[in-house]
Amino acid sequence: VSTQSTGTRLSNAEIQYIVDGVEQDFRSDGRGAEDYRQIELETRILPNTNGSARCKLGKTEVLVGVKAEVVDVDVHAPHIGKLVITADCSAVASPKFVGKGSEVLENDLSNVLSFLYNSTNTIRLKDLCIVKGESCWQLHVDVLFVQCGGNLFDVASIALKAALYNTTLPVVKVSGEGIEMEMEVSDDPYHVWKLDVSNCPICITLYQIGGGFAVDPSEEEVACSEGFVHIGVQPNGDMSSMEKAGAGNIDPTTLLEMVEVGVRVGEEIHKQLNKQLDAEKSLAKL
Amino acid sequence: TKAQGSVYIEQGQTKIVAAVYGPKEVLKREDFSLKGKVMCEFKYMPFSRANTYSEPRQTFEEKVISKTIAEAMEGVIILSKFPKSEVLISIQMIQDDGGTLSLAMTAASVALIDAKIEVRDLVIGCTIRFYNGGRILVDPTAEEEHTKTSEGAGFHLAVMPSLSQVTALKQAGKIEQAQARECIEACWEGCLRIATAVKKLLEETLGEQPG
Repeated sequence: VSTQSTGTRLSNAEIQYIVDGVEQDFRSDGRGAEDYRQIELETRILPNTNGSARCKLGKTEVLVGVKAEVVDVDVHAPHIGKLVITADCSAVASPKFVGKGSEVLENDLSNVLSFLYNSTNTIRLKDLCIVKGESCWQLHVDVLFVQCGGNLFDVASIALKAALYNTTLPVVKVSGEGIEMEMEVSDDPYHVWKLDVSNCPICITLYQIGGGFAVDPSEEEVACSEGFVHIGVQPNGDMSSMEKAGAGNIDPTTLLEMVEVGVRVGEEIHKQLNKQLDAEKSLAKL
Repeated sequence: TKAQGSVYIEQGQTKIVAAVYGPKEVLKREDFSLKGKVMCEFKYMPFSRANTYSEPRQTFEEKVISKTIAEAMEGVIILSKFPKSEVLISIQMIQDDGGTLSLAMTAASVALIDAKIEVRDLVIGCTIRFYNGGRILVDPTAEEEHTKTSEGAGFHLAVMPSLSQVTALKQAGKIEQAQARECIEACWEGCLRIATAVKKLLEETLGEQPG
């Protein structure tokens, strides 16, 4: 039973039923191994943030808020901004998350989501630099899980991309040099700029269940899985990251198949996501 | 040493010590289970890396590596053989010159065998660095690993050589799907070559074939 499951218990017969279903590409709810459930997405829902999104998939619901602040630049990387992604499992989602119960899962989630954005191919941190060697924007991305029903990573990554898409940062005017340098952060709510999220990846997680594998599992399916692979898929089909996790070994041929399916599904989701985000943008002119 | 099993492994300039304690009884009552548990603690020694000083407490990065190794080992150790117990794998990185995650996997696996804990197979790890343009460098040094991520990708793979199964995989940086296959194959080959050397050593020291 992987760490993602919040305590689902299944009988041996149920496990066999689910495993057989996945292997024959016909799961218990009628989906094929490559089918995602319907995704609901809402953006700009939190007025106190620079960008936000809510994403619901099956029984999993995630809220993402992006807040930006001006900070000192990192000594080792004076020309780029910072992106900090933290995940939080609300106690509302499950009684197991009260107090420190969710620490392991939160670390897991934060790590996987941060790893997704590990390379400069995903988001141009250089854009976040205000004054090289001095100040930069630090984006705090907080991912809150309101409900957990399997497939947490994928949902979070979709909501993350949507939140970054509508993140607006105020324009900063820099005048003077050296000690007399002054930074003026614009107060005007319309004097803003947006990040370039055209290369932002989403995480497609493929779970190995029995002899086959599936995307977007329900909680019961997660409990039957052994080992899963996170693939960070970018809109053009490149992979920004790949990680195998979970206890259980994967056959190399299965692994290559998983990669192929993951990239294919990822590209499709990106297309749909971008279409919806663009449509939403055209509805509400800032 | 007081550990049930231990190993010191060097690959080029990368040096790792791994120790295995267990199976130990789990004292907390809520942790009762029919299968054993695997805990792993990975730590960079303060003097191990060139430009950074490692703090005494475990950093986020180290926790992540610990978890990856623990999960990989969970798939290899026959956990049903020791219920209500746990195995602790402790890995110290003495010198980091590239290929840390993979070498740590290999070290953990050999230490487990030295501790006579029943495992399905050896686990061997191999790192490659993939450069834009198709060039693959097997077992990169720290200098080669730290080129900018926009110019290539790092690939770690850990496999069970006899059973032909992948226990762990980590890729950072951008690669295309077709290139992923090449990377996996290059890593696999690397792992098999290391495997023959490790098996020979185990035969000599322990006088028995693993698996």
